[in-house]
Amino acid sequence: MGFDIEVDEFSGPLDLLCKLIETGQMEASRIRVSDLIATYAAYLSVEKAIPLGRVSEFISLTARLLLVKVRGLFPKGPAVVTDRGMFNPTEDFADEVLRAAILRYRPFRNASRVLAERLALRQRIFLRQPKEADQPLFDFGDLYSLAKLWWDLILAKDGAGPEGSVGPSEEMLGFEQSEPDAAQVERRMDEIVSSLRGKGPIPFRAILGERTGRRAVVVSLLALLELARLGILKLQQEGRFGELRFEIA
Amino acid sequence: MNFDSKSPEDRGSLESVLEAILISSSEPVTTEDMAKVLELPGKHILECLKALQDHYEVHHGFRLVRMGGGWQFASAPEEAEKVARFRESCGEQPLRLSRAALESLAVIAYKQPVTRGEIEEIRGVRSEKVVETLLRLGLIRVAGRRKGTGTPLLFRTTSSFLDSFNLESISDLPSLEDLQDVNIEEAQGDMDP
Repeated sequence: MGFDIEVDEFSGPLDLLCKLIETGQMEASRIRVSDLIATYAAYLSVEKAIPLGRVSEFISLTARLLLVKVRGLFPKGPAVVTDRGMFNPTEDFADEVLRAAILRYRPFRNASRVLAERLALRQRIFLRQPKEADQPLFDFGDLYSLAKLWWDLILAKDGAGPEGSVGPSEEMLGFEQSEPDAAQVERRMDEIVSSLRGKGPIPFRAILGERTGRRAVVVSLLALLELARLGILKLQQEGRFGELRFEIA
Repeated sequence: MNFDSKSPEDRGSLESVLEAILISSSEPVTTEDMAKVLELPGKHILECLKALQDHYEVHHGFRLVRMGGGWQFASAPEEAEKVARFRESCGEQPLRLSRAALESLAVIAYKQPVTRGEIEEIRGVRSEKVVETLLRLGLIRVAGRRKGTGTPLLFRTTSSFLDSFNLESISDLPSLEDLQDVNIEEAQGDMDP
């Protein structure tokens, strides 16, 4: 079983690839969509169960990539001189789309400023607090509140046992984990280097050992990537989707 | 309750009753509710509430404020820092929202009921975590599912949202048309730390 790592900005390598191409940091012509699809098909054959959402995400991202490639096939039309200056028809289309998106986004961006001001003003006055917070109302389909209420009831029944024994994990409730700080990553880097010294290639899972919590995995991964970037570690992967192995360079 | 609006004694007596009702409640009390209980016309109640509001405007550590569709006693804004320190010492954390959270909240407030996909379409970035945070904070709630492909969840703002932003109702917010004309760079400059 592999690890699923998601960040806010990108959802997987394909999303990052699309972003690099769309921002002009990479040439679309260098990417073979057929290779991507073949790789994904191989991935599908390895994985036993894939959520439908992830398949649709792949199709959507591949379509994005194809669109960029198709656009790249068309010659950039000659610049047209109008009363408002010089325009390129292809670029104008992209500009128009961007302008429409900004126009649609702008009032909400400004509304968030209004909300920020109102929140700041509101936070200058304090009200009497009710003794117990009211349970939030939930409508039909509000599984989130229902699940929260359910967990609260279980916790109450079990007398709020030891931390983590019962109840939803932070991840389930959507609590954002704090970012692992640099000191933690540096400490982990030292640990990894000392544990790998004098040994052959070690798989990622073995490096993790007992540390299988979300935070530990993220910190370990960051430490390994940083060590590889600094040239202290070598990364090896035996074949497509094979386990990553690390050793001192 | 017999009441002569021209009699200072009656007015003083009504103000006293209103103060007692308001201080006993931790929720906003509507003019209508007070009028109903005291069996008096709403306009007399409103006159006295406004008089009380003026009375507490100076030389007091609290104010009579109108919020959440009713009236409530609240601490004076001049004492905000000290009260905030006190509340924090009691373990209460002020509501802190990131720019992404405020933007998502704005989209939900204006477009409700709205799906996460629609929020993301407007903002141009994924908003899954932000929506989860807003749900956790009780500022939005799930309000059913949209019919159609995937039947995505619909989100609405809550009464807690109105209270947190001192709104009587969503209609207190400026219209999107008015907000379209505001200079976006100016707004960003004001909000960025």
